[in-house]
Amino acid sequence: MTIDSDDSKRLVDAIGHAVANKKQLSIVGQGTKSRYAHSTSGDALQVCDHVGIIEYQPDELTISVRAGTPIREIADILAANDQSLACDPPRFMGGGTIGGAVACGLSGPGRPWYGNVRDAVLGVEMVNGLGERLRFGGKVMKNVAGFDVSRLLVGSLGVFGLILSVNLRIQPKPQIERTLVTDTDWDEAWRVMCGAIAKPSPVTATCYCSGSLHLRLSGNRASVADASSILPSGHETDNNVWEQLRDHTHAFFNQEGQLRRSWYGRGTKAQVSEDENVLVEWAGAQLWSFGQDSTSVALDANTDREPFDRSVASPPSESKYVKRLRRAFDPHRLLNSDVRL
Amino acid sequence: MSLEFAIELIKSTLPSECVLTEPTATAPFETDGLTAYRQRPPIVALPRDTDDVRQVLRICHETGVPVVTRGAGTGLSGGALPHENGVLLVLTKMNRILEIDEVGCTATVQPGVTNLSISQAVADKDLYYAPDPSSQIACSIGGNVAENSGGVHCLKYGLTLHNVLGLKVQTIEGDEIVLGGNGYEHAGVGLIPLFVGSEGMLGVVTEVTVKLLPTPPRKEVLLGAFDDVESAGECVAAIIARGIVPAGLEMMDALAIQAAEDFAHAGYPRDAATILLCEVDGTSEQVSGDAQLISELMEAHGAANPRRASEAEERDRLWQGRKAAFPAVGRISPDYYCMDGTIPRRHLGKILARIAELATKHELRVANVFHAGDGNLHPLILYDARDEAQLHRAERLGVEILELCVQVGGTVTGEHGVGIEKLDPMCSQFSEPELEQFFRVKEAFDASGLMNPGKAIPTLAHCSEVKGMHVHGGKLPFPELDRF
Repeated sequence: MTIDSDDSKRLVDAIGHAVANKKQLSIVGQGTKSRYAHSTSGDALQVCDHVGIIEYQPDELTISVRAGTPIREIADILAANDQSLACDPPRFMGGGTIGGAVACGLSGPGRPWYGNVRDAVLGVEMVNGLGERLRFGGKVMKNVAGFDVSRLLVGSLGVFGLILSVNLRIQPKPQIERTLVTDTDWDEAWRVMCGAIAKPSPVTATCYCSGSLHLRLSGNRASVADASSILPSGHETDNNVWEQLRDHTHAFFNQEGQLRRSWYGRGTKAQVSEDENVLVEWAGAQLWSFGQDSTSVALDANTDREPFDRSVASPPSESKYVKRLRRAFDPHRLLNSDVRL
Repeated sequence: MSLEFAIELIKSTLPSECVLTEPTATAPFETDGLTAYRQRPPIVALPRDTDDVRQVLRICHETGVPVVTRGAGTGLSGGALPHENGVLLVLTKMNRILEIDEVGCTATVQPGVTNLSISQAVADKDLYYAPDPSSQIACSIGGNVAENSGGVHCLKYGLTLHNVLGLKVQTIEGDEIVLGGNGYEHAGVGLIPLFVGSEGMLGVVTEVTVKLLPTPPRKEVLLGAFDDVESAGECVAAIIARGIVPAGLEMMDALAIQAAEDFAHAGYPRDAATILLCEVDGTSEQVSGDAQLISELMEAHGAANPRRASEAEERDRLWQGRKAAFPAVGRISPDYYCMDGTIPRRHLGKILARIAELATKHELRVANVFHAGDGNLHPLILYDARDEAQLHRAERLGVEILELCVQVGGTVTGEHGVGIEKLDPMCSQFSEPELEQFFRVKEAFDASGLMNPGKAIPTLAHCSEVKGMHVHGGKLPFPELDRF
């Protein structure tokens, strides 16, 4: 059983105190994603003692959890009811809090089929940069009252406020999961991956790396059993590969150099050769690579390979309004003030 | 003065066929789907393209004249009610499908394209656009984005938000914001969730890229009839608990069943207290397994011999009654008022019983139609608008129903939006600091407050008036009633 500890009063008071004294704070969880994003401005405000399941209704497909709750614990509790989070955020180093998952908004290999953290968020309780405790969204699937602030927080790296708790949509676990693997060239892999988007199929994750294509199939016994037509030459392999990809414990990620991530539009085929040191997920839409420095990696025609250290930099047309939004939530710029948008 | 100036500027900027000012021409635009409210717009602008939209916004910004954006006008909460001193910006001329990518399964369209026509345009490729509000034959995708529209398939396929990949938005200051695109993730904070459901308060959407899904190879619809609401509710919980996420899961109560059956002859059992309609879709193997299990669960919860329809014709017939529920209720009452609260599903029995009590108190009848999968409740309050007292009681009953929804952890609007209709109950759902935060968000995009003013978010002054009405001398009205 998970620890149940409501530390919200201390957190709200700490921000209230910071507001009164115009002192900056950096919001800190377990720090498992600090290479992706972190703040060092001002005193650290530790969220990890604010933990526990506030409400879990398996047959409503919703769960409400405090932000410091480890993702792993939530997953274990859901698994006991044959359920899982409707998104699959990474647990780097095996850890990570649900608040951190929301603030960073990263997704595992099932992203195109299961959606991202934003898609799974139903509501939040937060503290803005004025020290006000606010609730947005709710605990129900459909809710269009007011601006959708709860989903705006996903990926905002704490600059709009501290997340106290989050309500999430959950999903039943599929009866069966299988993993098929085969050696194939990039053109054939691309054809199979496109089929997994454009045709009804039980595929729920793809990975292409070093000339081998992995597919995850999910569903009931019958639908997954009859999947041989999707990958005729495929043979069964361990399901663990998807966790390794999600958490970056897969051997590919254990390399020297700067990890880079590129995104491609749906239906846009990246240039990949079999001997190239890249890993392609999301039916071809996310590509991982390593570069020694910022100039050594050739830029693709469609997208930059940007370092996987902080990708919140907003496109120019958006950034003016993102800055104003930041002022709307945190007018004194007290929270994670060194995180640039 | 500024309004006349703005009208002259718009007339001199847009071609004459794109500007309406004669009362006979503007009359059709005086209301949207919430017909109880009407306001003749002083000017209707019908832009042909993004450039026209930008011109109109520029003129409004320079002259300080409000602008209300309207799509097809099917919205049910008065979000597109014109402003008496403002411009009504109608996007129906911008109705082109710009690009269909059948490899990536995306469509990029102008905002005036109707929801259904996207699915029709890609049907031959075995693709479709999933969100299907009941007005889908007429409602526009721009309006869907503004309201974050749902439909009967939300539990499995999500709301508009879950199916939009990219937006182009024009702000009143003259900027074009490009959000997302045709990929899954994009650099930046990601403002799409803020614009989806913002009811025209932040900007004007001029281009939408949506995700298309492969048409499921097989569907099956099941109909179960129950003797009481609780059993049907428990059956829904059991279906979910067994790991099935149905494509659609709808519940209707006795009055709604009878009205629908008289109107549509779908073959619903007239003597049932409640019916459940459940649709499953997917690969053939998945559907066979799910449908069999649902049928067994319906029987186990007291629905004898559930009907199963796998052929399109029979499926459509079963859906027909549900889809005709609103017009069917319209036949048994001169007017009806459609509510849109959402509740955690487990409170259904309690809420329906309470709605019945409240209806008795207000001497009105209520027919209940319920998106049982996602907890979205549509009580239809029957009344006669010619009787002013009845209209007043119907509105009062509506507010009390929505307050009930908030009290059990739900929301005042699941999919129809706040518009002008639900400003009062918004005051129950949100605190003052929350409403103030909403206004600061609006200010970030529309500092002069010209975009659809007076809609979606009640002012603090409005809420203190509403609360003053409810709380008199520190006492709640009807102290004899239980509150939960």
